[in-house]
Amino acid sequence: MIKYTIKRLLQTLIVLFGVSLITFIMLNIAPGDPVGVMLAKRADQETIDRVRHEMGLDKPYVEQYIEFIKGAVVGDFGDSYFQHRPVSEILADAFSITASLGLWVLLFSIVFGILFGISAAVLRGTWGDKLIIFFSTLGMAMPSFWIAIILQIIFGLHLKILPISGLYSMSSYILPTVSLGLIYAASIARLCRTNMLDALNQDYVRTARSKGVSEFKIVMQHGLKNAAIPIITYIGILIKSILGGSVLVETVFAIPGLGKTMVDSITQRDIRLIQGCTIYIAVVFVIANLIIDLVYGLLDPRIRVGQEA
Amino acid sequence: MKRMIALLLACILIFSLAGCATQTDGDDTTPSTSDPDSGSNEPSGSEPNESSEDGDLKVLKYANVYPDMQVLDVMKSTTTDTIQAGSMVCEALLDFGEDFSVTPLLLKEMPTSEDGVTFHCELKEGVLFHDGTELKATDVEFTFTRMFLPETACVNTFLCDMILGAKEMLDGQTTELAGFTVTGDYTFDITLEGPYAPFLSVLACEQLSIYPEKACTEAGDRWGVDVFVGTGPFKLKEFTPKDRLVVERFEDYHGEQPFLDQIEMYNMDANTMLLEYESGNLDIVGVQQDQADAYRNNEEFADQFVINPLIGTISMNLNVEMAPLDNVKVREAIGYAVDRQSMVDNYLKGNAIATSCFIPRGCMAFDEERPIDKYDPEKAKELLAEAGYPDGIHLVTTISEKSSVVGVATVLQQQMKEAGIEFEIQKVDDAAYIDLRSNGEVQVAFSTWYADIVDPDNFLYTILHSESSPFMSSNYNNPEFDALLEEARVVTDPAEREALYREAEALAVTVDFVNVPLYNPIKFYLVQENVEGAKFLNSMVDLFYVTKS
Amino acid sequence: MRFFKRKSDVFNSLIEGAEGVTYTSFYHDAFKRLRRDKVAMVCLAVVILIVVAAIFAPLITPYEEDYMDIGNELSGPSAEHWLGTDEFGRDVFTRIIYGSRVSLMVGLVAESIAVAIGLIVGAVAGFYGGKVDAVLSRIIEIFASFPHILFAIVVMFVLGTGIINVFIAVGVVGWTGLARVIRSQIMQLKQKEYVEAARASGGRNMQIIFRHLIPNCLSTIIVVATMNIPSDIMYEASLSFLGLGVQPPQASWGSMISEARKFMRQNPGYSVFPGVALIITVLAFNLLGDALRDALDPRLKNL
Repeated sequence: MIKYTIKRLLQTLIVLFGVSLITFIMLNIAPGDPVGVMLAKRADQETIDRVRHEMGLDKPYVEQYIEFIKGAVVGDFGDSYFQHRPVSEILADAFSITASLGLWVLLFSIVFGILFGISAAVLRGTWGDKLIIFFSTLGMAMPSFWIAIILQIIFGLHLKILPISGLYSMSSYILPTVSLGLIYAASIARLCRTNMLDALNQDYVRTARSKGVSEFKIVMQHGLKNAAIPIITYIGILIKSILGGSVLVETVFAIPGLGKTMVDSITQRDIRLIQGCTIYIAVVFVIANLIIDLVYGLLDPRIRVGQEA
Repeated sequence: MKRMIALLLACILIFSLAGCATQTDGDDTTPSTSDPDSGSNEPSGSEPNESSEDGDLKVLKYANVYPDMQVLDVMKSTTTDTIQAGSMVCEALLDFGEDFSVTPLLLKEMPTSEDGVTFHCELKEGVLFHDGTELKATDVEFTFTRMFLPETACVNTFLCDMILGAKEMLDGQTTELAGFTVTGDYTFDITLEGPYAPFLSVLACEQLSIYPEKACTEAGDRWGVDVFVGTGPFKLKEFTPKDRLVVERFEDYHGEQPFLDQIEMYNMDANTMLLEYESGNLDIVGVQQDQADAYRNNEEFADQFVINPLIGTISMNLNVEMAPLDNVKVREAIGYAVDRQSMVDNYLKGNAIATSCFIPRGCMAFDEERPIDKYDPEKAKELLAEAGYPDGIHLVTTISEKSSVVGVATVLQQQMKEAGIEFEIQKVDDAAYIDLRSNGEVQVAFSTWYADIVDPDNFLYTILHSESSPFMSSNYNNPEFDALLEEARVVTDPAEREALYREAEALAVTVDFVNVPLYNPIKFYLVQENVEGAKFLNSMVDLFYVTKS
Repeated sequence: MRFFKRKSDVFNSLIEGAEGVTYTSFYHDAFKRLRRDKVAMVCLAVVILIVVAAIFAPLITPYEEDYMDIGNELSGPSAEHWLGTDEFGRDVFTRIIYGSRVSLMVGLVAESIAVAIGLIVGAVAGFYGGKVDAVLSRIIEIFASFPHILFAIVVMFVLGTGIINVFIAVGVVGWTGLARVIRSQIMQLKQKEYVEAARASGGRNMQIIFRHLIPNCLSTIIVVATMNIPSDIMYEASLSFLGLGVQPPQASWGSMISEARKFMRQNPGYSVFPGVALIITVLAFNLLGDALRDALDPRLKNL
């Protein structure tokens, strides 16, 4: 397993290199550069050239890229062209915000997803089951920024019980968490239900039932265990989307998280910040996948770690 | 055993997320400590809807769409967002009055000049920076020198590069500003390359705020990030780029003491901040043009609604080098193909003022006499036919997706259809737009220009003079027009200047038809009934002397 | 072009094969199962209804897409404008119908692009294995861990803005999931006897992939594609939210929702109705995808 982990981490480096190279190439293909944006309306060639020179943007591309790689190896992405502070600092700030919200989203979706998933499985065939299926499918179909705006209007403006924007108190986490988490909770609920039903129809469960094992124990022991692997796979995907931030929901709730940071940096061509963001997201993604693969192997010995798929 | 490891791994997975998070949560519950040097940008303490947390502090909360509030150093950005934020802390030598007249702020009295080239200035004595040091002439010298040093990468030098020696400094030939002489502890002279009539207005621009030499040098890279010291009535407490700025009262201010203890300025989504305002969590908010109508004509909000006409013009620059716009008849036709009045009355719901003049209302040389061009698609068709396009033309406009004129362009698209002009809209992101435009590749470029200084020079020279027109994708190059502008720059008699600018503007807009003026925008705000004393000047807001009951 | 030709060969051979062996083919059975599923049939009907509305939009709608009823901006639902008007005085109902064109096309065109790329990359990686697989798997990972918005922006600017490029932007980033699934499926399939047989009888590799392996993944492809369509539609909505979607005066549901949120106070319906249209469509595709999966390949339940 250790050998496998090392191999995967080495592959990660290749992926990170590829991501940074593609990002760099793309940024240089896309029209526009940070200096143009900075000078906005008042461009004159002399000023543009001068500022470009000060920022090292007039160097050859290869040189710029090598410089970036040199810094990136030691975790230094340079200073943002617009915020004039280190990219690592900006990312740390944005990350702490996205992660604290993400934690709630994760908890919300896991708790509610599993809760409703189990309920639906236990109540299979009844109205309760159908209601849960209906609402979870609906939850998956609603765009999160749309839910966000509607929740703001209902709970913030009319009922005045929850803060509309910002993340300044515990209660202000509720609306963003629900808007972001609904779709994930709905997906987990459906996954959980399907896999539990699968398990509960197995012969060994029938045997257990006939032996008088309590229904609760059956659901927990056999049903939930069977549902664990797909749910964990899904959590891997979920972590990537959560930590990538959601620019729409962050905009609507005025939260300076990663999603907004990244999209803004892209539209401004803040090259260093973009590079930092992409590398960061790639790292999170690859590591989340690695941990999930390891967890698989442990949960289900039939999946041998090291043999993909 | 294996199951235990699995559980452990799963926990790591979740807590790797939580790692930073718990830290933030911790900060949220502890009372906010004002420590701008810590580099922490986490939201701490006071929240918008719970002012009581700050005890009996008199706090004002203001929000607007300020996505470019990224740094406080006003030398590093040309956007209102940064300049507004910087001006909450720092002051310039002079100040704009409500009618855009210039009054002394850090100076004892207005600078004097015998020849319009050298200006003698004397600083007020006893003006303290927020770090306790006294403002001296050397600080002013430091500020001006810093501005022109290439390594500062100042982007606002265009405002004042007429100071003697500024261009040499920008080129890196020297590190001393020839046109700036310190003549005493509190006195200094500024010399220009030649006469420049609006120079005193330049000195009042927030972009030329005075920085303390000691603090600024010590802060190095952190200047404007988490260290920012000025002479204003409020000092920096907390700054989260692109999110919020908190300033608190400076007890030793050299002028009148403000009523407020603290001002919080937020960057928010246009819609979100209105919801916050309606819930009573914000005291003052900016209202976007397209949302203004809902509040202007609503009894509940009509009293709180502030209308602030801007000194600015929304217009279209026609690229004279791209066919078919190289034909003057085609350019003339476009003026008849747009219905400004209908757009202002219907789409803009009267929240703007239609204009046929490129120089904005409220600025010298605005031609009040000129009637608003009539919408006449038939006449436009005739002109197009005369120009050799009887079947109409196809035009492409490129617009930044961030820009507020996307809707305006959509309305124009429909109006121009009548005149046989197919007006294609291409929305691109901001960086791409600026790139295309400054390469002169945009056929029809919307110009949304607000005055930096209220002077026709700021409009005509920056947009239509042949030196700058390629960057605006207008490519207008008429030596006669250029000569008028250059002459107006050195003439000091106001009446004579006005006549020159009128002539120049008329030449560009009514003879060469290189610019199609559309309307003068208005900025809107909502101010809660218990809040008084906010001053709205052009695109800036002055909140220093607001009172709250 | 070559690829499409081969693809039609595949379908032909599939049909021939099916006729040759038995009359109750796999797909016939699956369709029978699908027909018994009431929810699926309702969803299918909804999807067909939307498709018909999109195709015949000019016949159904009372106005043209860009007609502005000047002086009647942001009015609520009325006999003249069933769902009210937008900030330009354009009919919301008309624009929702026209907007369905964009949403459906995004779903179909973008997903076809994604399927084409994902299928080839996945199949080649799975079939050849070894170094080819290692390289392709890294490429898949790189694309999967890349910010999609950046990709969209670059596509728009390299190719120019416009509806076709929206499809490309959505399609080019959406193939990694499918590539992974296909890769693992091909890995299993290539061990099967009939592949060995094809190889023994001198079949070229490409022939084996396109004639034998890919047809066997068809049900997976159908299921994955159907389930991806809703997320593609949502992705277009978020691109529009960022101002990167369709160009005015064209309507898309995403751009309508994001524009309309500014006018919540004047005409709440303007933002609610396109949202409802979006939800119904996504819901229909989701449920249809579920049903297809159950009918075609229940093993895919965790997708």
